[in-house]
Amino acid sequence: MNQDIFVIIEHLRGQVADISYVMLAAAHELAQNTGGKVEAVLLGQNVQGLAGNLAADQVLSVEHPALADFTSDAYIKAVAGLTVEHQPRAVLFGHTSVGMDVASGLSAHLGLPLVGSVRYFESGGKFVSQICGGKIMAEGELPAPTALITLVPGGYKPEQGQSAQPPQVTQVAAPALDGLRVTLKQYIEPEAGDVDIAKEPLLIAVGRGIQTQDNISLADDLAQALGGVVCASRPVVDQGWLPTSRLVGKSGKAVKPKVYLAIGISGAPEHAEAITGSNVIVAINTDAAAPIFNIAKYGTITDLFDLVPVLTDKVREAKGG
Amino acid sequence: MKILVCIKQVPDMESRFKVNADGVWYDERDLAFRMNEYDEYAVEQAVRIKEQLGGAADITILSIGPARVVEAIKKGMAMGGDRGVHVKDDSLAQRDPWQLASTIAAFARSKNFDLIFTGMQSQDRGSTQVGAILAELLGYACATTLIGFELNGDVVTARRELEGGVKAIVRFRLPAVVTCQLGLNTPRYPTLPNIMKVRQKELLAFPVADFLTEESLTITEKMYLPEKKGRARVLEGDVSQLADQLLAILKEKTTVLR
Repeated sequence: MNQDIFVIIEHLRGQVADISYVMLAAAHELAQNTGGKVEAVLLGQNVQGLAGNLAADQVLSVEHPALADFTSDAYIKAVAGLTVEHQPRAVLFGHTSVGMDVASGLSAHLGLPLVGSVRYFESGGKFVSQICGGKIMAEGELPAPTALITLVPGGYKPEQGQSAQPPQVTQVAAPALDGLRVTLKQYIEPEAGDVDIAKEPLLIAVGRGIQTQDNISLADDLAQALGGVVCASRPVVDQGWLPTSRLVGKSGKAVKPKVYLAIGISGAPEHAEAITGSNVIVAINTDAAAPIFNIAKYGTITDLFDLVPVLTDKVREAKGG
Repeated sequence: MKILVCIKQVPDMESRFKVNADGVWYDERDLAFRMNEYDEYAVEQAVRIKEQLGGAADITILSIGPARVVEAIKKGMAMGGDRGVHVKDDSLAQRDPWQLASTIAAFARSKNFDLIFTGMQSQDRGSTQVGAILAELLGYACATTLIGFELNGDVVTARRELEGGVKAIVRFRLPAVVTCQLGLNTPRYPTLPNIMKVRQKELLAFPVADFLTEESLTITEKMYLPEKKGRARVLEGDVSQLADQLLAILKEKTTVLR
């Protein structure tokens, strides 16, 4: 076993995902503690161009046609080969739909411990992860011999994992990648909407607390009075009350408005990670323990049905007067 | 077609959580438990497959945990499951995903299930690991985070979420383990007649020791509530005063009201 930290670089169609840089930043923190190196693992086909700004001591690049698109089978086999050969102290994956898949399969494949939803590492090397939608934090020592980790965004800035100095790239032969059980047929692009919520300066966001489709009009009225745009968290979009183009969160868009007014949104990690770029978050929620209050600058613990209509009236007055 | 649906019972996520005396899980007293939301989609998809096959399918609903989880199993049976399996375990909170997946694998291994459904994650631990580990242990195809599911013979064409709104269509053959994302379908409410029928259905119970042979791979040393230092400034006053304060904030931070 050595003390190196592997980072499985996540990329989708020619673009390195931000979570990859976040992982590199986390890996440097961890490597300081273990005394090992940070090695970025780049799987794919024709992906050399993606290595340029990875802040790593070395990039291990595995190229194979079966790795061109993500399928967990092929990725598990490729990462398993490297893990067995190098026996790193930890392997970091993004806590993304892809990363979770590969990390879980690898854990079963090699019988290695996997800690999910890690937010950051303490200076002593302990992991800090989150459960119950971010309402409880869990902490522990990095399990041995090789700890598999999935990392959520928020603990490190992507810039910390970027470097102007191109790292050394080492090509590694791919293991046999046959007998794959799942094939990826086609990508589906995100739905283009009438507005791009990622570019809007004032967002009125509604969540489960809005309760019914009819109540969306409360948010519409407020948005119209303010000149803002309505967006939503997952439950509202799943119900079909607003189109997918208005979805804020891990499976939708990340936003960075001047003001994000969160109405009846609890702030589960999948949603919270997509709004941290907001200048000011204001939350209206009846649950004082809702995680949204951990990231909001201002909050009111009030029933939205009492407050929002009054606020809308006052905005209209202020504008008309 | 033999179908297994693995479900979990979890607390209402709006609950006020406290860490328990051991400091390594939440205090389960005073919490209302219900079926994990993601698992409702898993049960619904299984029942839809049975309907698609004109009833030529047999659905087993499995849950691991203390006596309370029987309620969730019964809900799954009322939604259309044919049989319930309660793996009795009073130490559920101490099990890691590896142990849970290997317990289910030990139960499922000799039974030749064609299709295993589960939620994409539990709302409490949220590990997302159990389905994918189970697939690997059984040597089944695996597809996670599904928002679309179509079965044709023994070929599944599914829609899965990737990142940032991008999705993918994947194809695989049975046997398979799939994990269900919110929005995959619209879970049905059990009707009263179907709730009554649950009593006539088989509900099996096994001690967890029948299937669990693995030690946990990960150890949590302590749990705690997030620090309050980054918390919002909570505005006070009646509704009218609150609205005035919000208006002032909006005026200060944006140009729209100037």
